[in-house]
Amino acid sequence: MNPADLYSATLASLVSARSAMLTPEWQDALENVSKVDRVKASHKLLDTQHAILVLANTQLSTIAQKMADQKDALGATIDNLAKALASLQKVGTVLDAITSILNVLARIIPLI
Amino acid sequence: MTARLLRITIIPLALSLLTGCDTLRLQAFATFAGLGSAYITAFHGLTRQAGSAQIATDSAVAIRARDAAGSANVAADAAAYRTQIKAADQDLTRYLANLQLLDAHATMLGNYFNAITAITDGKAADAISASADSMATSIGVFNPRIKDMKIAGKPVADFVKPATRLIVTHFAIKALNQRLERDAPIIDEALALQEAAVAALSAQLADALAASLQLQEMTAVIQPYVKDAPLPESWSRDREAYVRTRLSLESANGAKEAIRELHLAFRDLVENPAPNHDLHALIQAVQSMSTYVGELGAAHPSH
Repeated sequence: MNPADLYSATLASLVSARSAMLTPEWQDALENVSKVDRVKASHKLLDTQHAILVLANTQLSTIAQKMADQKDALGATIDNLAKALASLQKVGTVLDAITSILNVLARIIPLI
Repeated sequence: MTARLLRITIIPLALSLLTGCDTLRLQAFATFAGLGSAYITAFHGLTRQAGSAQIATDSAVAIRARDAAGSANVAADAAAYRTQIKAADQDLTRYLANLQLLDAHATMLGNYFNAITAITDGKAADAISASADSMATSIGVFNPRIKDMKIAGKPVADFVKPATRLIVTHFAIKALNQRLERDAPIIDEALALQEAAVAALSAQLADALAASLQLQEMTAVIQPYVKDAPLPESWSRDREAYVRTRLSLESANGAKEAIRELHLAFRDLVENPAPNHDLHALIQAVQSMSTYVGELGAAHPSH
């Protein structure tokens, strides 16, 4: 994938994660987890939304090289997130997958 | 908007049927300029909706995140949440600043179209011509800022499709001819930038609306229905609002079509002594864009 495709795939992956975290299924899943995980899920939703807006406000050319450097890590976390989102009831797995992609993204653009 | 479009279009088109080729071209140009102004009005509505949709989505996400944690836990972790909300506010401010820039660019184009409409009747005062001159200069100064503006991570310039250089064919009205010989490349570039910006903006608006609608369906339609409590009186209306807005998402291409038609019409009118671009397609596209913006505004009055 070239940086432009990688950029689009990352953005689409984050939008999918946000979308999943707004579903009734996710809300139901959170009913069955600990307070710690509910707070973590809450932060991850805000972090994901922030990452979407930061990515959309960042000019691709300024991050293209860093994006290319993280190509493999990004690709792997995008795939991992897609798999995790297929089973929303596994809250811990979904949160870990979101954390992973956000960590890789933080090496490319400054997040919080 | 419909009455205005009819006024702009039918009278000049009818007149043009009765007169010669050059008059027909001038009438078509007047029609184009009027439709250009109508497009700009709709564009302002589109940017307003795009900004509101983005804010609404961000706020809905923030509310959802607060609900997920529970207010007591949010209060206990206040410092972290404060940082996140402040960061989101800054993200939105940057996004709105971009939209303001686009809006200002569109306003200048609209003012230019108004001045050009006055010039097409051949009786324009020098003041109008001077005013058009100053607007074209401002647009020329503004175009590079729009080119560098970032939407969805790419400068608007990256969305601009390559086009051939514009060659102005002589107009019978001297003032109009002089204006277009000087301004056509600037306006052509401005329209190309608008076309690119609208394409990027429409995609972002669709994403934001989709997220916002997803929450609307959950909180206003599904949750009240499955809850062990009487349905709210507004449930049917809320559901209708949700379904109608969802449907309007499918009309999001109207804006892209309108600016594309406007740009094509401009090039045809400037270059072709016997313009043959279908202005009715432009009328329909501007109408469709206006309807789309109106539907979004009606479905979300707070937008």
